[in-house]
Amino acid sequence: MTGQPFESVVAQYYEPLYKFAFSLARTEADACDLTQQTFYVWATKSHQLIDVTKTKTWLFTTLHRAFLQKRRRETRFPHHELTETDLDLPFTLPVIAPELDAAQALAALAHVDEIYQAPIALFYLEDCSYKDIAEILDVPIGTVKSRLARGLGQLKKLLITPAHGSNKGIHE
Amino acid sequence: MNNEDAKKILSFYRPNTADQHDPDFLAALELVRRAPDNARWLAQRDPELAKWFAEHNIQYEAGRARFQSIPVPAGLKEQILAERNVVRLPVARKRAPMPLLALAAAIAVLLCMLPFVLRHESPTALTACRNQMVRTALSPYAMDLESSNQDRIRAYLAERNAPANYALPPGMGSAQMVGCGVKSWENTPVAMICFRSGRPLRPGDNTDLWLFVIDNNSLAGAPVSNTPAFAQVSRAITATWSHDQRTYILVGSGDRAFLEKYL
Repeated sequence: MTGQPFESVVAQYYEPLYKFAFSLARTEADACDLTQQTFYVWATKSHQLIDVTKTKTWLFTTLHRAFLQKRRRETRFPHHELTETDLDLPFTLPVIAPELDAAQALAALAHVDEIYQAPIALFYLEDCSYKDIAEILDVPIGTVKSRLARGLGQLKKLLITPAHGSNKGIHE
Repeated sequence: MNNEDAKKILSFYRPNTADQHDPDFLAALELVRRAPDNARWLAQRDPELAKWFAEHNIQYEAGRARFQSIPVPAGLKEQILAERNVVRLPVARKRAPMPLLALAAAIAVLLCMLPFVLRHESPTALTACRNQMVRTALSPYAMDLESSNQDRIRAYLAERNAPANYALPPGMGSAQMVGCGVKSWENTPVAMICFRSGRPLRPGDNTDLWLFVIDNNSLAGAPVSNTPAFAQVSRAITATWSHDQRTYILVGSGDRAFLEKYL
């Protein structure tokens, strides 16, 4: 058992977890549900976590799995793995213009292939090492980087071409 | 490592994060950060690489700032704390060995208390489920099926393993059934049947009454009484009861008197 008081874990992580959830689900209600569900699981199962330094990774992993379960019930999206060859070329980050706010940035993210969205959110949002991101997403580090390279490339194109509308949903 | 290799590696570098200490980046970082009094650095020095890296860092910080500025709803923390499951496992402590008889007595007492401890867990799960259903009802959503035909609605729910043989309270006869959806609680399908009370709807709304139905077996602390229990959640009023091994949560915008008309 980690022995960490529930209140202190909530205080430390509810904001970053909500932001991660919102960047995936993009509605306040769904993000709140995912965040609350994550802490509900924490409240009932945190005694199984022996290493207290893994709390953050555990919480993000739990939230991501909850999101995937929810999405799998709603739609089936293609699962295509990338190979390390995607890392052959360096890439440049998307230019996010100063006038873009979080909502617009997330609207653009919504148009990126779904499999790349969580890595991008963690890339920007959290001070997680690549090892932690790989653990959260349950993929090798090489796959994290492949997805990032591909996903950031898509995001860059979307931000250059301002055709993305904020009302286009992730179900399309 | 040449400059092209460094660029490939540094494409993934995030300034002011854990990457600063990640061994995978250290060698590449040396190429862009080393003080220019080093002969090898001078030989390898690539102004274009340094410029690219500076731009990379600026773009990363700009992107990070946008994502970090996602607003967190007021009251979320309090709601999480309010809905917490209060089950706590005993913290292990070093203590003197307990005599065998006392140990047996303690185990017996604990076993006797177990039902009460488990019962203590239950209301929070029910509350969390109810609150999640309220949020679902009050948030913008699309019905999976828009229909006033109850047979179609039952068939739709049954196909998706959601409770389909629900029993509507007599008062619901005065509301118009308009559709349904299948939601989820801890991986269990929840039937959502949507109604219109006949009151003017708010702009953008299609419904103002929602009945959620979930199997009692899937809901820790499911109510045992078939008498509705009322609770105000956010701007909604809820009535929760149990009937025939199902938990029913009726959600409406308004006060208790409004909801009682539909029971």
